[in-house]
Amino acid sequence: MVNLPSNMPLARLEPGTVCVVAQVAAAGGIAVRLMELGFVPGAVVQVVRRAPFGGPVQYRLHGVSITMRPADAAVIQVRMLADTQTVSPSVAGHRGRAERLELAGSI
Amino acid sequence: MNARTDNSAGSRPYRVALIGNPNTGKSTLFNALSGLHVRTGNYPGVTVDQRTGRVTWDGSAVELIDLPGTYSLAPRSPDELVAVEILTGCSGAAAPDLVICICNAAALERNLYLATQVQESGLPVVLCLNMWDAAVQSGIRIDCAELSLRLGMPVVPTSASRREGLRQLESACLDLLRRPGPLPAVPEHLSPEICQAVVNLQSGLTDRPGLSSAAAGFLVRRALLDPGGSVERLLVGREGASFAAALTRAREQLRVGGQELPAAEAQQRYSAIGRLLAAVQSGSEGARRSFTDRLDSVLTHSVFGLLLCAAVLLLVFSTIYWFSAPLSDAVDSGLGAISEYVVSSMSPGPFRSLLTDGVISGVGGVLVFLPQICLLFLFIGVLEDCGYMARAAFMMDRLMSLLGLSGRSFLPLMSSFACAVPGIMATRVIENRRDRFVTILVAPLMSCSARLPVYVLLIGTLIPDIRVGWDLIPLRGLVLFAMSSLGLLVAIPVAFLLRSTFFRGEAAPFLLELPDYRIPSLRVVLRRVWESGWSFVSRAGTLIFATSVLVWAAGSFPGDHGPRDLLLTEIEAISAADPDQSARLDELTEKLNQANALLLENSLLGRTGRAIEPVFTPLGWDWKIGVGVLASFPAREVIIATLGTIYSLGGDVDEEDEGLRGVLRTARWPDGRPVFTVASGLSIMVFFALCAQCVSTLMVIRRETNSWRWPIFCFVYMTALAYVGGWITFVVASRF
Repeated sequence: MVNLPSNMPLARLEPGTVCVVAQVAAAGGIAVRLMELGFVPGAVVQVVRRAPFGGPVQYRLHGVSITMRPADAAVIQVRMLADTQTVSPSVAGHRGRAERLELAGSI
Repeated sequence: MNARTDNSAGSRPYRVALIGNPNTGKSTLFNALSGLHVRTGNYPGVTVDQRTGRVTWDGSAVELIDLPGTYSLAPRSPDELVAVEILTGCSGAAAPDLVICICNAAALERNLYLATQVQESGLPVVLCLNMWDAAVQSGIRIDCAELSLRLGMPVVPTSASRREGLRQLESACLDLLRRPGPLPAVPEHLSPEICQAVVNLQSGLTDRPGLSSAAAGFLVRRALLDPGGSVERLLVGREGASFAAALTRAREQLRVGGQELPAAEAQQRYSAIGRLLAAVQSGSEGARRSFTDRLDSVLTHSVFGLLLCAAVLLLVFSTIYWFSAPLSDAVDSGLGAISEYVVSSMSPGPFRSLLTDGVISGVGGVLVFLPQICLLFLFIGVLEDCGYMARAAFMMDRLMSLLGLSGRSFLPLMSSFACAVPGIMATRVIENRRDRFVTILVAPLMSCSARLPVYVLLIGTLIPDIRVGWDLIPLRGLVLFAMSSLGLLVAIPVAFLLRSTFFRGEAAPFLLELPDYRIPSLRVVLRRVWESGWSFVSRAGTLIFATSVLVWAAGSFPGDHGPRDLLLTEIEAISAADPDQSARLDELTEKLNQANALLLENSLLGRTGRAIEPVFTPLGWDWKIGVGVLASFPAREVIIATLGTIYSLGGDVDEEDEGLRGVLRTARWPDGRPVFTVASGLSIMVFFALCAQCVSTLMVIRRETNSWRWPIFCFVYMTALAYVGGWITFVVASRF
């Protein structure tokens, strides 16, 4: 069980993690577009994978894969999902699980 | 009076608009519904293509309008604004009679966001759950009847790529169009406070003829919900500052009440959709998901994924080079036969020369390379339709961000490898203006299909047909690959320079959807191949024809054709009567060559070319190449027709593959050195890789940027690059 005291930016999460959107902390076009795509408070987001060279990160929400750059993902504030059972086995995999434990340990 | 009954008299066709998210198979559905009766035009006032199809459904004429793909009705790009303007009828044309909202059945939650927005326009909406087969396969179950009941609109499952459900979709639309009486009540997904604010704002509007009350209410709603958006600007422009102030007050009131916009819209809508789907949807999308995920873990892998991407590109270019040759040869010999027929049935003279040297060789210059273009678009179609293109954009984003561009620019730039014209048009998907302009300006550097003829001709003429690297890689293929990559490499510093000079500012947010992998639809891919091939032929055909004739005229006049035509008549008479007189024939042919040389040297083209020869000497070119380059300003591939005309020996120019190549190999400087060496050949190819010799591209840039400044800028910078590049290449290559 991971229990975090406060929100953190989505960009800080490692592949394999599942979290819940708390808020989009930005104004203007990018915030609107993010919310339209489903990054609304309460939405469950899965961090899937990173592109090569530290490029964009693939997220999964509402059954759709969206990719965005870490800088853009930083405006999305998330909470860790306490119940790790909701990670679908297809995405979590061995790598995801290991990294999630690592993250939990580092915080 | 009900709006739908206005058209039941049959005096004008029903107007049915198709709207939907990207990656829902909207274009496939549009094509499947409209067959081949598609017209491409322009939306009034903006530079977004409008595709319309005219069909007959059960005796009723229907005009289908394909709206640009959009995630929501809060427009962020010209394309998305077009969708809103069409739906509200404030684009000049009347609002559609019905809207088909296309959803990806496997991603309904996200897709219903747009559907509920569209429904608020007050227009009749039919919800089309496309890609139904894929959703069913992955275990998703949707209760369409219940969904229809709860949303107050017909729901039709379809699988457009297999043409399933189309008849049902048509009849659902007709039912709604023909049914008298008011529409079923539309459920309200937004809070009563927001609805009240819309009513208050609408009552403050000045009276607008030509805009229905429903449409006005919808516009006000969109203006309120999307602070700083295009609809707000539109309405404030019409209504003035008092409306802007009222909007601000309404938003402030909502914010105080805990409903800050634009967040409140997304939140309320998604929570309503969540409740709705809980009642109508069951099952998981596990199976399909895991297939796509497993594939992605390889295809987007940091090492394997990139290697695969490079391998795919190499495969595309190698295949084009290997497989198009026999096809091109067939086209070539067909045209050669026509040319021979013309020669055999006409006596020598300027008109026969026009037909064979101008018309047939010019048209041949287009058709011969059609196989390559079709093959390339076959690959692009497959890569896009199976979902790989999005992965390429995902992997390439980091690289593109080094240029200050995003992965979104990858697709337009990739498309520019086929032709910069559709590539530049594809930049409309780039939201950020700076990104878009930089992409437009570097897109012509990508190695387009019109460069292929130049490469293929020169490589086939000058590069030995050997294999290198453990006897595996054909040298000719390798050179072709190098030439095709050159523009891309040069684009990197150019884009960087543009970004740090003309287009300063922060990089655009990059949001890209990765659709599930699927088997590409043959129909979709072939249609794309057909459309691209046809547009190339129809676009290039007229240009090349005109240029061929002009070049033929410039190369033939002013001049005395009498002696040349007499020689020709004599040669043909002798070869027809007694083909064994080879000595006499050789003598006459040599005289003919001299007559042709004289004619060319004294023609307008020849005089111009000789006058500017010093300009091209540093690049290793003689005046004939210089003339070819000048004449290819309308389109790069024209240099083939030009060289064919310049080097043709009278009217009996051999259109066979080796004809022009042989002539080029034997071309000599006055001192006897060959003109076409590996060094000068590479210099020509590098010049053509970097130059902007394409009127169509420049015209499209002018259209897309709505200014003459950028096409002129583009031509000047690319020509300068090409000249310097060709010069350096010649100097370096001459040392080996």
